[in-house]
Amino acid sequence: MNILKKLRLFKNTRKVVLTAFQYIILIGLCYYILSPIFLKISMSFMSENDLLDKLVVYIPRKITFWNYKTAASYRSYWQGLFNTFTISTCAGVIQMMVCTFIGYGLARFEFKGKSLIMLVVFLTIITPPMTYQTPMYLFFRYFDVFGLIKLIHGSAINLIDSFWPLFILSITGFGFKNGVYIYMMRQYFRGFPAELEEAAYVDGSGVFRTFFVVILPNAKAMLVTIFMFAFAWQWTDTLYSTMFFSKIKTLSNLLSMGFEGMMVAGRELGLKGGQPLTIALTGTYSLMVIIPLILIYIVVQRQVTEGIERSGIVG
Amino acid sequence: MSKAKKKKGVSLAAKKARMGWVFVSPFVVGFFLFFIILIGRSVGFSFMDVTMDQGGGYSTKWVGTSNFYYMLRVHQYYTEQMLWSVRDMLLNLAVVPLFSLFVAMLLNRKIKGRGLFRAIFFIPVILATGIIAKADALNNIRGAFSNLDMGEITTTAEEMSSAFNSESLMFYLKNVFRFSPKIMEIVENAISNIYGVINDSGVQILIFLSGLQSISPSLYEAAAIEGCSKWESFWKITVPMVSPMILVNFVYTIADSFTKYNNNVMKIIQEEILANSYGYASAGAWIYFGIIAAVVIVVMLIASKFVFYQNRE
Repeated sequence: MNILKKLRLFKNTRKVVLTAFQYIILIGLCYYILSPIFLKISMSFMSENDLLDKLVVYIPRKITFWNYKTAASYRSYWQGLFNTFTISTCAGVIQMMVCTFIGYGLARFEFKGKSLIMLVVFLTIITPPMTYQTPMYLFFRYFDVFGLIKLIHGSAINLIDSFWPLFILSITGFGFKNGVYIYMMRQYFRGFPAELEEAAYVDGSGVFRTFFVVILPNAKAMLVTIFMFAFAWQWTDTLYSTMFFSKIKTLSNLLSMGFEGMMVAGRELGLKGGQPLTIALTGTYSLMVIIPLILIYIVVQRQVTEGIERSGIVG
Repeated sequence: MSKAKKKKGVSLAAKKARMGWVFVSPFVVGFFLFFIILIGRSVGFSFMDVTMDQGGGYSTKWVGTSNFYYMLRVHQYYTEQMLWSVRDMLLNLAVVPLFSLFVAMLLNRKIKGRGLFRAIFFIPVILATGIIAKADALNNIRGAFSNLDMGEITTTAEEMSSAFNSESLMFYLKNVFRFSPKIMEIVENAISNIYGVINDSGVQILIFLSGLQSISPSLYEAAAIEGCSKWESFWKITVPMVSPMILVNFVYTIADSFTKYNNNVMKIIQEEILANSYGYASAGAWIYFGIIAAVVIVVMLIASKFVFYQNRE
């Protein structure tokens, strides 16, 4: 009896210690992730005087929304948000569908040339984007399909500053990091139990029907993960955004333009006119860029967990 | 009779093969429509002297391998920076998948505030394209020119990470436990660079998390009933079940190292592009690609030996 009690006590203590330990690790890591963001948040409420005041580190003397207002109006935030949201949603949905399609094809079907396609997918993953950056720009600047467009239209068309380049890249599975998505989907489907599909085939369901009715609902967690990647990276992408959209305002382009020349009132504080003091504005704009993403993630994340728990997949 | 049966069997296999082509068709179309053209042009550029014309378009002149020679032997930093970046990548390959599996397992446990923790760990994923870091770096450059003393404001990520005092810990590990210096160096790098490791692991954590969530709890229950300890079930259930994801994460970690904002090889190539020397840029990129490809092939060959698939025939 006494031994049993001691054993229980030991087990309880161990449990408490382990739980405490894992909270300490998680909170510590979260601190590392959040501390630069907290710094940005506290700076975003500071006035110029607070920014220059060495005594003010984290808590501003007087809270001001000047940074938010200025950043939003100077770099047309709402328009950028609208454009970015549209582009990212379209790109996310298209890339998710296309990469799932291709990944499923590579995971489940045997055909000649499959290993060759797999090799090409690998090449797209490990090819640094810089290798084809210039040719890609030129390709969409003077867009032509085997000389056909020149025949009909008279000359090659300029697709830069339209949504077409991104659409063409997405629908063929060559968008930003799409090789990774294809590879992830393929790995996921290879580990997916074959019994489900076999049952569907035995019941007389066709390949496409099986894919849409049986496979997709069961792969919901992975689908949402891929969508979230595609969405978030399109949102913060600078490589393709700067290449394709010089006139269409996206948040990433607006952010990288910076805020040089703002906050010129520093003259009164003994600084030369026009001297840059833009770190608070850039920080504020950075926050404004990532906050919608985090909100969307929190909503989607709940759905992912629910979807998994409800369907009770997969063994 | 038997002939007809055989014929039907063949046509079914052919039908499945055709369906396979249908599924991968978007990729094949993209490949022939532009990818092969782009790669071809890029490879071509690396052997050519490319000049942009005034009215649009460009003209090329064949120069043989002199672009490669320039990048490897003449360029001031290229070779050195490339070796450093490959070394960094290998180090990341050792640390990041381990760390992310560990964190993913913590986040997969039923603990209070799990949703909040997951949301926080998603932040590095958003920042993976380096957009915020780029914006900050831009500001720091401008700040440096203006000679402005802004107190604590310019605290960067690197300074933050040095808040972790690793020196004393290193001293004890070296002198008390007598670990080998090589391992110590890796550990020291990982600890002093923990901010970087966390930021590099965002995607990998998410990949592992979705892998862990797809493991059926009944497997663990059955193992527990059979008297399997937690440690054993980790090695016998968790690791084999997430092993496809481990491979994914290796590949992802490699691919991720290109688009990082602090990749100096990419910076050099970008500089060459901005200076309109596309030949040099292409040659530099392709040398880098060759080395990466070699590393990937070796990693894949080793790792694929340990990967477990449920449906392996």
